[in-house]
Amino acid sequence: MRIDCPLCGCRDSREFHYRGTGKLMERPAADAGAEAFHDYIYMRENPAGVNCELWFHEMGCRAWLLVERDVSSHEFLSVRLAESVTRGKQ
Amino acid sequence: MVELSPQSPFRDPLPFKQGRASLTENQPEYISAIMPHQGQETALSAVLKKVHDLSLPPAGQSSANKHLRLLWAGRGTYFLVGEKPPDRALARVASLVDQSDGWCSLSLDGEDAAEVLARLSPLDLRLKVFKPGNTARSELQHMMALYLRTRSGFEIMVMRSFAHSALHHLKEAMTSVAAQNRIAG
Ligand SMILES: [Zn+2]
Repeated sequence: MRIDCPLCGCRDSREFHYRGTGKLMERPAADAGAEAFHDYIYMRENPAGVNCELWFHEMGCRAWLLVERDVSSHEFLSVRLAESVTRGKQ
Repeated sequence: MVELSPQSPFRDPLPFKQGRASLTENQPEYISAIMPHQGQETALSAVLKKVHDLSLPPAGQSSANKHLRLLWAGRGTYFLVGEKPPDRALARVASLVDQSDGWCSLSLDGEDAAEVLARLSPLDLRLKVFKPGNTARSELQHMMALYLRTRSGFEIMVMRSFAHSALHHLKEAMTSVAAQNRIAG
């Protein structure tokens, strides 16, 4: 697999670490309750197709990336800086 | 104040030559990390121009003047490398951290430099992709490294605690490339 880091360009996947589902970007509000946090921390979809994921360019620029990856073909459909997604929301 | 004499981070003697590649120690006097505060990149760029006559390079690039070089060194991080520490005026818009004894630097030069490095790093080292003045964060045999392409080869920086391992792997790759080229004639 090769991942097209927005800062570094296309790099070998050995430079990156998978850091979990992209759902982790949507933390519930502090007063959302135990049920919402239980879902946030433990409940995962597992589709055999396009997944939204967080990857960390650990051996490269050290940016967190929000990607769409098809887990049945390992094709990366999009790669964005997680910080640009967060700041877009503010 | 007592001035202590600096010690080389490398245990083995340098320079080291094999075939058409040479490795030299290239430790700058100062290495300083400059990390702009959130949203302060434009302000940092202006202050840098004023106090050091350097422009803030985009990702994967560097800028230089006679005394200092400014290397993009990762997300939101720049290394100021050379004879001087950063001007204090920069602290208004960025975090400054002294890395002079935290990182070590080697120059790998010669015709076979790219062939040697290709054994240790997954970077695309072709000259049309990684050009003189370009920088890259990538790995060097599982160690995190900062690379700068120069006209004669590469400058390779790793954390000082990796100095001996980096030197070991570079020497091994140089020896192997030289041996294979000798056999091939
Ligand atoms: Zn990157």
